[in-house]
Amino acid sequence: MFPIKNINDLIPQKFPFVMIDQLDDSDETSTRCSFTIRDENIFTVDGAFREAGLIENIAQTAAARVGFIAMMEKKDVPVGFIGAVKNLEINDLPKTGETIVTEIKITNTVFDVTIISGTVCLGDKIIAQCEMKIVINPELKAS
Amino acid sequence: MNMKNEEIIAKINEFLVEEFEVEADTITPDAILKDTLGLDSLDYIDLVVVIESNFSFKVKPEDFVGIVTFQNFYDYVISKVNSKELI
Repeated sequence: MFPIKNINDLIPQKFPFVMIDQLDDSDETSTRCSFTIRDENIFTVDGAFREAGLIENIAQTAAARVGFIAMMEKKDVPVGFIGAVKNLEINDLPKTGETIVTEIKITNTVFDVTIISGTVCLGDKIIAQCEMKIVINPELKAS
Repeated sequence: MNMKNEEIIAKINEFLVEEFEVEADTITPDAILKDTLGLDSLDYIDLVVVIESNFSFKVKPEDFVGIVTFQNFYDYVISKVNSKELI
């Protein structure tokens, strides 16, 4: 099943705001996506993928998890929102042509809010990490 | 062993100071929870997480209705701990 390369089937975001290339793995507690930095990406400036792109990359990895579950259950992909970002650390910015691997882990689910921890790795090095609260709106479906 | 009410309150105050980075002396029974801790709607999620992880019971959204002061909050946690409504 993995990797799933038709990422547009899993997440509500559309070009040019897609910040993951493929879903590499997903289980009950964690999900992993990869993404190759391109020069034409809207978050690439002077050959480096900027901080906002890394945050969105983590959020979209979480979105891919939700989309994957929806796909398995043959349901529409729901739309989610970043509610809050906490303890953000960015140690490096990936360069054009480099591939980052992002993993999110579900740390808690409270009411309609999912709390995740996300790490972005370039090779063996963690270049970014944060905690994120993601609010899923089950009534709002991706078009 | 059952926790005494004083122990529960001390534990609550300890995690509130740590989680919400407030001075311990701002937490008084009559103080307004939301204002003192500077809670927005998503901060309540953090509050639920620390309650559930520290006291091992499940919080429901409607539980917050009527919780205004720290005393209200203490009473709520104490009642849930004593009722043994565990996760």
